[in-house]
Amino acid sequence: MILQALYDFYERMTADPGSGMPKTGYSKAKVFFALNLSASGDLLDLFPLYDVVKNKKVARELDVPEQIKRSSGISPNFLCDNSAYVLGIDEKGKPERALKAFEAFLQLHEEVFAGVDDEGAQAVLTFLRRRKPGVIDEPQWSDARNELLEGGNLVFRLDGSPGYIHDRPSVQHAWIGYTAKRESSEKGQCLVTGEWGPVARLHPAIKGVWGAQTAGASLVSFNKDSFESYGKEQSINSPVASHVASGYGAALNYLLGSKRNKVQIGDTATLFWAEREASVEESIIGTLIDPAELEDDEAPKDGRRYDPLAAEWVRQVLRDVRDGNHVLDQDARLDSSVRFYILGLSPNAARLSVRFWHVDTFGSLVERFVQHFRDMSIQLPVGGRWPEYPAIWRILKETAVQGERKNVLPQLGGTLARSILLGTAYPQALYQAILVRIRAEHEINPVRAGVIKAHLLRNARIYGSIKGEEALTMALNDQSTHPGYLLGRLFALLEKVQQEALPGINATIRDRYFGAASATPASVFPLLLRNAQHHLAKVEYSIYLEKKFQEIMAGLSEFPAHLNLNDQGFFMLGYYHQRQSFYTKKNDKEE
Amino acid sequence: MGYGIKLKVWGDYACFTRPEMKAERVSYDVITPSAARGILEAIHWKPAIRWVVDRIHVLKEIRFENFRRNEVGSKISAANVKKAMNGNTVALYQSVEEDRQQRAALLLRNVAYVIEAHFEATDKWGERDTPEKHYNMFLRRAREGQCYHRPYLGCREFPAQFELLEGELPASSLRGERDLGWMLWDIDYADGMTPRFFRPTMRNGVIDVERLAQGGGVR
Repeated sequence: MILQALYDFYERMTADPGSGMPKTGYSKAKVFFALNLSASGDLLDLFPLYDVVKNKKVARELDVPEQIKRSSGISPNFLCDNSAYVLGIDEKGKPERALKAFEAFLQLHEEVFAGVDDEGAQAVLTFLRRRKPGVIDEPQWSDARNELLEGGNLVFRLDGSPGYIHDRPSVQHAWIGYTAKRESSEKGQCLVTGEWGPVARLHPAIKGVWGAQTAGASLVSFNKDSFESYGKEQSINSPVASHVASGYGAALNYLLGSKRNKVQIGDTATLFWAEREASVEESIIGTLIDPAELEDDEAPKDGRRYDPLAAEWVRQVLRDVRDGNHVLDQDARLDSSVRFYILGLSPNAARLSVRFWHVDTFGSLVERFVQHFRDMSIQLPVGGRWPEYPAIWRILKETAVQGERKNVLPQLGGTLARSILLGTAYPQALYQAILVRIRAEHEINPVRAGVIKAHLLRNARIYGSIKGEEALTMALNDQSTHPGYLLGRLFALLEKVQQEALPGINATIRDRYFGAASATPASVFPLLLRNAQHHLAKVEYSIYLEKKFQEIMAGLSEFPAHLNLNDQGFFMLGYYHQRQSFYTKKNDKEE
Repeated sequence: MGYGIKLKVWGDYACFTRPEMKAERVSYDVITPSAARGILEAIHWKPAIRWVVDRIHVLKEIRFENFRRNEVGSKISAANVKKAMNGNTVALYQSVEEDRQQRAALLLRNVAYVIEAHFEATDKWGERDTPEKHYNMFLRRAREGQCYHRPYLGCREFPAQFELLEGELPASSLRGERDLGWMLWDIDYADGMTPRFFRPTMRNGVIDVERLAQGGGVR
């Protein structure tokens, strides 16, 4: 299904010449120089194709004849290769190797261009035949020699005609004819299209997955013999027609290189695309997966995809839902039946593994995300810069030691994304990781509180109601009698009293007792309450606070010896809610 | 030939590995006919018969889960085994510590299927073989939970529970039509072990393999 959807995408995109998807037999490569040849095969100029950005050369990406996955042997590419192959100049102190490379390069072009009547092809052939490999005799080259030796790709141009030689129609024709002949003799039934025909032996390298090999990793690979079956070798194990293999590879590389169809979630590169042309819907899904951009109206810094229209639409929908309009407005401009593919890829050295694969309609995806944001919604602190709609990566960051991406549990991104997309319970690992971080750092921010609330709320919805469900709201519910929740509120109150009595002390009860209070209340609360009596004696409005104490204590019959994981979540939520209510109370009074 | 049987199989995990994603495994959405055949063969098989899967009922919602496991990178070479058989001294061991491969897998979670199948005679069919005999052998073995080896759901590490269905078919929770894409149908062992693919559609949880095979869905 995955390859099928990718290949369909490839076919759809190649039908549109402006899409930027490379044609059959072609792929993208970084090119540093173009050699400008005369019709008689003389080298006239050397055109640099790179830009210099912050003292670094950035090569231009061109559609060039599909390149070979190279390991150690000599294998030339057609009309686009490095200086060792094109010119025979040696870069690593191995002149014999460069010589062999050049000969192979010449040999390949003799073969492909045999019988091709094209000015460009002839110019390249004469140029190559006439060269003395390893020597640079043209004067205008001496300056560029070092640059050429850096190993970047070179392509050819014919002086006086537009474009590159590899783009000339008759050259393209010759190349495609050659690749068809070169294909492996193995035949089989293609598992993407079901047709019989030649089968690809190696699949294209996929570039742009964060953390995978920079030279590219493979989605379909058999790089260890324990992966092979029935005595078959390499990709003969999974028959895919050659043109389908290069097509899905081009589609994947296109999606991974695009800013519009890709969001990084933890270690997972998340790609999404529609089954047909639906650019507005694509932008909306992108905004929902990564709503960080909703916070700023200004264009994002690192050039991430940003569509103001989509952002506005999403903001409107989420606002409607927050205000209690549960029905999604049917927007006539949008097609809610268009099917979406969502693919999560994560690296494993030379291979890529599929973290999740999800197919759903636009309308139901929007509903799932809306449900997610509704479950996550929590009262935000006044004046703080906290996202109202936290992105998935933002949630993952809260589970990591020191908030670093590399410390996120490897599988969490995928499982969290899947639970959102399917509307199922959030992963238990997420809840546990959040509790661990809160206990370690004594810090409950809105994202963490939101996760706790969403997790408990969803479990209650899916597995049947739980005790204390009424407390799973955006803001404080002072009617709830859940012991964990009440203890959390009580702890917040104790902290408040201490702060009022002893402003500016170094270590508050939160720093000292938060962990113990949330897990084993019976062991610390009696002590804390005793201390609070002394604190209350110092506080100005002790009567109001004492009343608060009584209000909360009234619901508690005893201090439990232990709180289980669920109750600990309630404790933290109660603590968060109570703290937020201290700050918003004033506003209410003013009103 | 042969009588039809209905077998219910279920398990916590299943992985009907897609051949194209075999290194970092990704399962098909549902059980393949060849995996279903494998389950039947675990319960009763003789050279005289060949199981043919007619219909597959998918009873539960299709759910996936990620798993990452430490596995082994290489196989013991067949050439070395041959050498050892010829009396040469070769090392035939595998050291898992030195040959680790971590592989991720996208598995199916909580699956349950009903397999409808019948058997056909092969050229090993003898005078003493009758359809009634094999049918009753299967029934007896399936009723009593007997098997030659533990039947499994795609991979040996995901064992299958099984139960002979003699009454009504349990209802499937799936509704509507779903194109499952090209799936492995079976391996053609007579023709160089060539894989054959088919493109099933699931209607209300039922995949009609028989009709597909007749209608040219299998090539």
